[in-house]
Amino acid sequence: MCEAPSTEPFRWVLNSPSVVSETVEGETIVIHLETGAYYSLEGSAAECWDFVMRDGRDDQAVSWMCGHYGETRDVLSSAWKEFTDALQRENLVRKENFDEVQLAGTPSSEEAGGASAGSVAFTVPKIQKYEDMREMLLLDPIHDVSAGGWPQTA
Amino acid sequence: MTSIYASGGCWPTRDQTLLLRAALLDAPAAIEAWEEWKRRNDLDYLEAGTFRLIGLLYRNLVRVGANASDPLLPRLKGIYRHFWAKNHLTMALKEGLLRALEDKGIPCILLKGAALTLTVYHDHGVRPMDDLDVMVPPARTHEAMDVLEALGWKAEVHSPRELPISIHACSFRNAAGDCVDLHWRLCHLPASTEFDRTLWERRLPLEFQGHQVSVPCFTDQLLHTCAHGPQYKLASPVRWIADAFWLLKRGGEELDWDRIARNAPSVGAVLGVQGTLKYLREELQVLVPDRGLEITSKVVATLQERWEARLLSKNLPTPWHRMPVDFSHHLRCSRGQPWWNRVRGFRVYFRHANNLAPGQFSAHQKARVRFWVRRWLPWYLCHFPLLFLRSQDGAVHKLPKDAFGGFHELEPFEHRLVRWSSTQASLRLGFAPGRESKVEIDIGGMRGWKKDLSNHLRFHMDGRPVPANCVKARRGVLTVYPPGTAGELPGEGRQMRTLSWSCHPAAVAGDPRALGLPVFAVRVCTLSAADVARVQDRMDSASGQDPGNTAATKMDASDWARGRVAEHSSREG
Repeated sequence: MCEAPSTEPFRWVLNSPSVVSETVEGETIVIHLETGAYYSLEGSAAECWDFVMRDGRDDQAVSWMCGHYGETRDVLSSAWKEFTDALQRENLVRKENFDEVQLAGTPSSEEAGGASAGSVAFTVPKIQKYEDMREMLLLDPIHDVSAGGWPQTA
Repeated sequence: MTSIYASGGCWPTRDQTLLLRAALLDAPAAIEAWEEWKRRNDLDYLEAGTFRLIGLLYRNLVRVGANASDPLLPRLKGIYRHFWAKNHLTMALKEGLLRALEDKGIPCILLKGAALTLTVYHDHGVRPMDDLDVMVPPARTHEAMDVLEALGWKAEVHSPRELPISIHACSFRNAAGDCVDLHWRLCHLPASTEFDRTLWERRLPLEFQGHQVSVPCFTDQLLHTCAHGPQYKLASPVRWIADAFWLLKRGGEELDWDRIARNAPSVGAVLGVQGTLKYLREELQVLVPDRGLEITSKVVATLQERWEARLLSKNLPTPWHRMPVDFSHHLRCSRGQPWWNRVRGFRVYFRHANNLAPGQFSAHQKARVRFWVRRWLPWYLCHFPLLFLRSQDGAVHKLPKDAFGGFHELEPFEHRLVRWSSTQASLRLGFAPGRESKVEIDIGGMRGWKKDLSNHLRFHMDGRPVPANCVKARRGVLTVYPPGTAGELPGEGRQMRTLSWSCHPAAVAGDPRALGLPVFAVRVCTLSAADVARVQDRMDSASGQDPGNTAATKMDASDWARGRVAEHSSREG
C-alpha cells in the first residue's frame, strides 16, 4: 500500500519506545523490541543512522553526505532514499512532521562536517538483520551453573 | 570497624578484585589491573558471576583508552552487545505488566538491575539482568498477584498468597520462560514501618517505556545492595561491589548516611555496609565520605547478625544447611509475637523460604532416615564395640573433604570405613618442610600387589612421576617415597602437595563403578637421616637389579637422591 505523498515537511525519527539503538565503536546495533529482530549497521550505514538520530531531514542528510563522501549528489540521494525506505520497512524509524522553528537549534549539515566536497570512499549503506537472535539473547547462562556453585577460597 | 571481607566466602577473590579495578578505575590503574588479570586468567574459563562484569569492563577499557589492538577487546565488545540486547529485551517483555499495574492504579518501584540500569549506569550493556524486580505496596500484593496471573504469569512457589506474612518476594514465570520477581518488602528482613513508609515517599519517579514508574532513592538502593550483595550464591555476587561503587559516585552528597545507619540493623546489613565501604576504600581507592564512614562504623552488628553473615557467606546447599539461618531470620520477622507462636510459625516460614510443598521436607527426611537405617545402622550395631577403640591414625573419614579428588563416597567395609578412588585420583597432603617424607596408603589388602597393582599403578607427586621402585607394598599398605618432599626452607609450616595416581580398574562383582584404590587410611611420615640413606640404598640396588622396572617412568632412584641432595645444598646455600 502506497502512502499519499505528504507536502508537509517531515523528518525521520527513531520509532521509540519499540526500537532502541546503541553505537559501539563505529558499529550501531538496533533492536526492535516488539519483533525481537536485531540489526547491525556498520560503515556508512552507521554514519547515516547517526544522522537520522541527530537531524533526520532528507535534504540535510544528502547535503551532509555530499560533504562527507566523495560521490555525486544523485548517487548519494538515491542511496539515502533506499536506506530510509529500508528502515521504514523494518519499522525502525517513522516520519514526524516538524516545525522549522523547532529545529533552529539543530546543527546544520555544514556544521556537521559537510561544508565542502567530501573525500571518504562511499559504500552503499546496508542493514544486516538477524531474526533468530531473540531466543539466543534470552538464554540464561548465568543461572545454568551447577549446584556445586563456585569455589570458595579458604 | 569490623572487617569481614578479607577471607574468601562471598567476598571478591584476588582475581575478581583485579577485574573490578579494571572495570571501575581510571587509567593507569585500570590498564595495569587488566594486564595483570590477563596474565593470571583465561577469558574462556570465567566463573558465571565474574562474567557479569564483562560489559562494564569493556566500557571502562574503551573509556580509559586500552590498547585498541588487544585481541580480547572484540570479544568483550561482543559480550557487551549481548548484554545490551538482552537487557533491552528483558525489560521490554515486561512492558505489558507495567501497563496492567498502571491501569489498576497499583504503584510500583523497580528494584535491583532495572533501577540501577535506569538511574545509575544509564547503559543497558553493563549490568546484565535475568529478570525484572518490581515492588508494590504490601497492602496491594494480592491485587498485583491477580494482575500477574491474569497476564499468564505463574508463581514459582507454592501458595503465593500465604507468603506476604513471612517472605519478602516471590518469582513469577510466563510460558516463554521470562521471569518477574514481585516484591512487597525491599529486603528479606523487615525494616521499620518508618523505613517502609519513607521508602515510598523518597522514591525517584521516572518514565520507562511510556509508563510512570519509580526507583528507590540512591540511599535505599545502596542499603539494598549492601544487604543483598554479600551472600553466597551459585554465581558469585561480585557485581554488588560495582553497584555500590557507582551508587556512591552517583549518590554523592545526596546519600543519607543517617538513614543507612538507622536502618541497616533491622535489614541485617550492618556488616554488609561496613564491609562494602571498607572494600571500596581499600581495594578500589574510593573516597568514601568521612561522615559516612564515621556514622556507619558506630553501628554495632548484633551477635545474631554476625552469625547470619558467617552462614550466608558460605554455600548452603540444602534446606538442612539453611535451617539455622532460616530460623534466625524467622525470629527477626516474627518479632513482637508471643514466643510460642514464633516457634510454631517456623514450620511455615521454613517451607516458604525453601519453596517446599506441604509435607515435602518431612517426606524427604523420612526417606533419608530409612536409607540410613538400611545402610548404616547394621554397620554401627555390628561394630559398636569397635567405636570405643582408638580409631586408626589417618583414617580416611578423618581427612578433610577437599583433600580428595576423584574419589567415591565414604562407605563401610567390615569394621572400617573406606573410600574407593576412581582409576585416576589425587590426594592433597601436608608435608613437613625440610624433611624427606613417605606416604603410607592403607588399602586393606583389597587389591593385590605383585599380580595386580605393581603392573599398572603409577604415582605422581605434583605432576612429576614417582619412579616405580619408589613404591613398596607390605601387608596391604602401599608406601610411596616421593622424591623431593623436603621442599623449601624449613620452618615455613606444612607444605601442601598433591599425590595423584592412575591404575586399571578393579573388578568387583556387582559394583558398576570404576574402582581404583580402596583407601582406608593415609599417613604422611617423615624420614630420619638413617631412613633416607637406607631408602636410597634400596632404590639404587633395586634400579640396578631390575632396570626394566624403571622403564615405565623417566626418573629412577638416582633422581630421588639427586633431588634430595640438590634441595639440601640449596638449603645450605
